[in-house]
Amino acid sequence: MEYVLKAESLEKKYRGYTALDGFIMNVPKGSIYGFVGKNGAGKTTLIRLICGLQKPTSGSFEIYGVRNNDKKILEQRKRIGAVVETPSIYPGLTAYENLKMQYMTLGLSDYKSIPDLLKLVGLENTGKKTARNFSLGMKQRLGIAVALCGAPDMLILDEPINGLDPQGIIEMRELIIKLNREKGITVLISSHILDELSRLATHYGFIDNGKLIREMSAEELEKECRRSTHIEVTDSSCLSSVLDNMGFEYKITDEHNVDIFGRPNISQLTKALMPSGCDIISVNENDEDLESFFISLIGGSKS
Amino acid sequence: MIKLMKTNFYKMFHSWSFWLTLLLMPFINIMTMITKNEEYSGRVKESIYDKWSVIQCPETCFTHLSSFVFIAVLLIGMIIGDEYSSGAIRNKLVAGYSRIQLYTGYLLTSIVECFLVHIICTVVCYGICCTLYGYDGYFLTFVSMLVRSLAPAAALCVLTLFCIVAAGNRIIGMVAAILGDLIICLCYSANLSVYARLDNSEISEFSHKLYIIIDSLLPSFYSGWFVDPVDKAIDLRTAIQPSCGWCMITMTLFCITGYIIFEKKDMK
Repeated sequence: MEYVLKAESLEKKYRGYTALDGFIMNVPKGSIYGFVGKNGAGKTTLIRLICGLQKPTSGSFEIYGVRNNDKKILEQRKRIGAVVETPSIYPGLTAYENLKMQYMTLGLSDYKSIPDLLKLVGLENTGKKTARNFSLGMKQRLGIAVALCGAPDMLILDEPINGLDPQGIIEMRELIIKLNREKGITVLISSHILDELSRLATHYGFIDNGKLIREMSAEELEKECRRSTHIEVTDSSCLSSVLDNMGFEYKITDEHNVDIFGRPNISQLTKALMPSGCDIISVNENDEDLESFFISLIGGSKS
Repeated sequence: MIKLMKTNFYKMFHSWSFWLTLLLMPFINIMTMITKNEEYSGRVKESIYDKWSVIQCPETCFTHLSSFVFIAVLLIGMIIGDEYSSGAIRNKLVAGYSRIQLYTGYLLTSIVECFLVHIICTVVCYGICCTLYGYDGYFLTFVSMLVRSLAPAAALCVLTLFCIVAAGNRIIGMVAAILGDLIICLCYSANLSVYARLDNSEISEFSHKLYIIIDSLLPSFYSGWFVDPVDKAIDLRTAIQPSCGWCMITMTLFCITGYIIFEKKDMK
């Protein structure tokens, strides 16, 4: 599998504080990589390192196969568009002028595509209104439009749907999916809104205290989060042979606990276990979504 | 680099602070010129020095130099400092520009915008002066003064940019720049005073000592004149004459330090 971004034992320390600690990450090409973590986990720090705003204390990362300490990394960064924390826009300029500035920065002389870009993010009717007078959602859209200038191969979005109304969130989601599927743009997106992320991401990275806890594809996450029945029995080996006969998929947690993926008929199960002398102690249903999976992975209480 | 400069100049020409300063400064100079001319118009003319001439230039065409520090801080702070406060500097870093390229771009933009304001102010005022009161024949001296004023102007630009970059914040940077520029101008003024005393010719100072004390309290260029009692000639001196070397030292020191700080700075 080809990776556009690889981080190897990345560390970033500030005075007396370690933001990233031996961080390892692999972002596959063409994926929408959802980056999930608590506040202060290190998500924005990683994005700052990748974008060249800060330098790592130790470790390295590669963008399109080029290491960060190679001078050619500057060329590879031109293939990235990013919105880091807050939109990077000039408040005294209009939306069109902001994009024109970005085009000039990138060395693009053809400004004909700017109106199309403004239309893509829903800012085509802003006219001579300066960015200073935009709402938060409009600034966010303009920031994303700036990131899209120059048709980047990779998009890095740090909390892109902050400040957007429900309609805006849907439009943003559709835009990201469209860019990914139609243009093959790899997207690295960090967000706290897990429900929204679950509709977008093809891969996930869970970060906590500067370390990547788990990295998995959406399919793997679905298997982890899918509906299951948790049964506590006196002997899980007896239960496993009964479940094999019944054709259920299951996972043995320990000698007394088993997760059954499906909805077994408990009466039938009890009847089937009686000859072997195995008793059912308790039965619970699990319906884990991304949020509860994240909480169980990272720790903390569900609000 | 050219793309970067193009972006910076586009920003500059779309900045209200640049146009406001460009329009306001010549106006102030012209008003000063008219006021000074009225002062001289009632006097009995005993010599060529009692009419309008380039002798009055430091008081008129170069009036804005007395507030050049504030001009530089305003222009550089509003344009370059805006890059920090708006986060637009991040776009340039993500676009693949190195820190050295960025800093050089900011440096050149700062110097060009301040020079534009300074030169246009001075030339416009001189042109209007010649139109209203006649050409005085001291054009080469005027040009010499203009050219020589560029060195300390550039030094103040370098220092102002350094303060804003080191602070990483527009407001704090602008305040630090004003204080820093004040200290540098005091050093230039002190240097001129020392130079004047090292001169072997007998020099009688025309209100010189008092002028130094008053003027050194202001963050401005020192400008005064010496009367040589032997030749009875007026030798106009400004802070630029002895300070060209100091200007180069200032620029080099703060340029290199600015590059180092900017290279290592963690951006947010």
